[in-house]
Amino acid sequence: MTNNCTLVAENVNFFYGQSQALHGISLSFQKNRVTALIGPSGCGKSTFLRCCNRMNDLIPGARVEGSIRLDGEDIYSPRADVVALRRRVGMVFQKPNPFPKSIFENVAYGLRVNGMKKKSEIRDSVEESLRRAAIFDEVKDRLQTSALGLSGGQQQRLCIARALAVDPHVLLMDEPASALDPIATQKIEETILELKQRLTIIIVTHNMQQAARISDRTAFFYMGKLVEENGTDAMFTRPELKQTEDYITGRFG
Amino acid sequence: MSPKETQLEQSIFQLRTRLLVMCASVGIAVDEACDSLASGNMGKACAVVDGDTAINALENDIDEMALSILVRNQPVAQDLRFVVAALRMVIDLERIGDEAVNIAERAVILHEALPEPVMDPVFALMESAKKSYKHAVEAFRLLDGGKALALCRNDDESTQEEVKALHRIMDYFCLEAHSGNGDTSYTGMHGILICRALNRICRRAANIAEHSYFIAEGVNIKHVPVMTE
Repeated sequence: MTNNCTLVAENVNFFYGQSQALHGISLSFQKNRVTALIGPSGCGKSTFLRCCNRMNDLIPGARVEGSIRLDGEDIYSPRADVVALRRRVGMVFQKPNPFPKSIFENVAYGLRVNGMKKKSEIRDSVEESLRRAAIFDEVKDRLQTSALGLSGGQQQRLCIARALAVDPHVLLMDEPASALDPIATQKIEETILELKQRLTIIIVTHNMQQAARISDRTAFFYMGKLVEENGTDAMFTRPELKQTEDYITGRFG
Repeated sequence: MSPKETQLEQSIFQLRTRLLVMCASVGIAVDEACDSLASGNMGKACAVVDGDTAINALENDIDEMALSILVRNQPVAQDLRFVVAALRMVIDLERIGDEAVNIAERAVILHEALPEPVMDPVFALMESAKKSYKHAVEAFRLLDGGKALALCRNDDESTQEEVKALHRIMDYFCLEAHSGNGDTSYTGMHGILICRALNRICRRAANIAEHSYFIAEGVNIKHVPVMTE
């Protein structure tokens, strides 16, 4: 199974100072699959997600043990290039966070930072990213207007386009639709299902139905530990552990 | 992680209670239909026919409750299996009720129309049908996968009993026809239809056992050959 995996975490422990937030997490993420991380608030799923592109490095006192390998390379190796890592492992957050710039510039920004200079290349890449994020048709006539004028759902898809522009292998999504209405949520979910043809996607969600709708595999976290990981259909019809069943059926006291 | 009764749990509990009420109503219909076959009691037979409306109404009630739970609660895991199984079970229960009506409608005609040795295998099949139904309901009530599986394993016995009963009836009517008594052919047809109805009750009971196994174990054993120990 490991050979078919883009991202492999082995025995990952994570500490916020003295406090241990993750306990020996071992989890593999298969290529072109959506994996949902579920669990109650504070269980460590977002912490784990952020470990996957070293976003936790920015937190003072944070420490990681174990290994996370991206396409075979340890992302925590001293030789690892964090900027390159974040290009290969994109991230979309809970709240849409477009730059206060034009729609075009939001997507073009990452391309320029990564050295793309030719205007025609940038234009083509922006269009392709917007198309992949299923927002191009809605914004093609106003690419130079402010991204802040878009609706919440459109802003989130713009953020997805921004992440896609630098051609990542893995996309991390931390509750990407939790602040959106059902129609915008549906569009995001359809976008995710399209994107998985080319990407490995890891999504944190509190919405069980969303996990069931869009993911191929589901991992249940509780109190910093990985309790159960399985195919999504099996997880939501016959979970192996009672703890998982109690959580997904809402019987957690 | 303390147990706490959620709105979903209450809805599932109500659905289960309603299903058990339907199981009991259908069980009474089967018992009364069989009694009317054995005793020729016209009153019991009529009660079974009249009671079918209430069983049909229960089917509609349970359908609505299950759909409402799916819409409102989007259940998963055992809750989902229970609701899906409930939707399947009501169909089997309603059909068993119909078979009870079929038996009751013919019971009075058949009573004493056939000699005891001809009826003996029919009564044996009748007892099997009653027993299978009771076991199926018990497996569902207790969500006992083992009990459910045991019933599925015995599924073929009723077919063998039906064949035995049909042979006995056919042999009897062949002899009657040879002896120039052709008026009994309709009675024979009723006998055959009763055997068919009793076997179908056994089959439907096995379906209920399969649904119970699905709820309890999360494994679908429909159309899967059940291994005998």
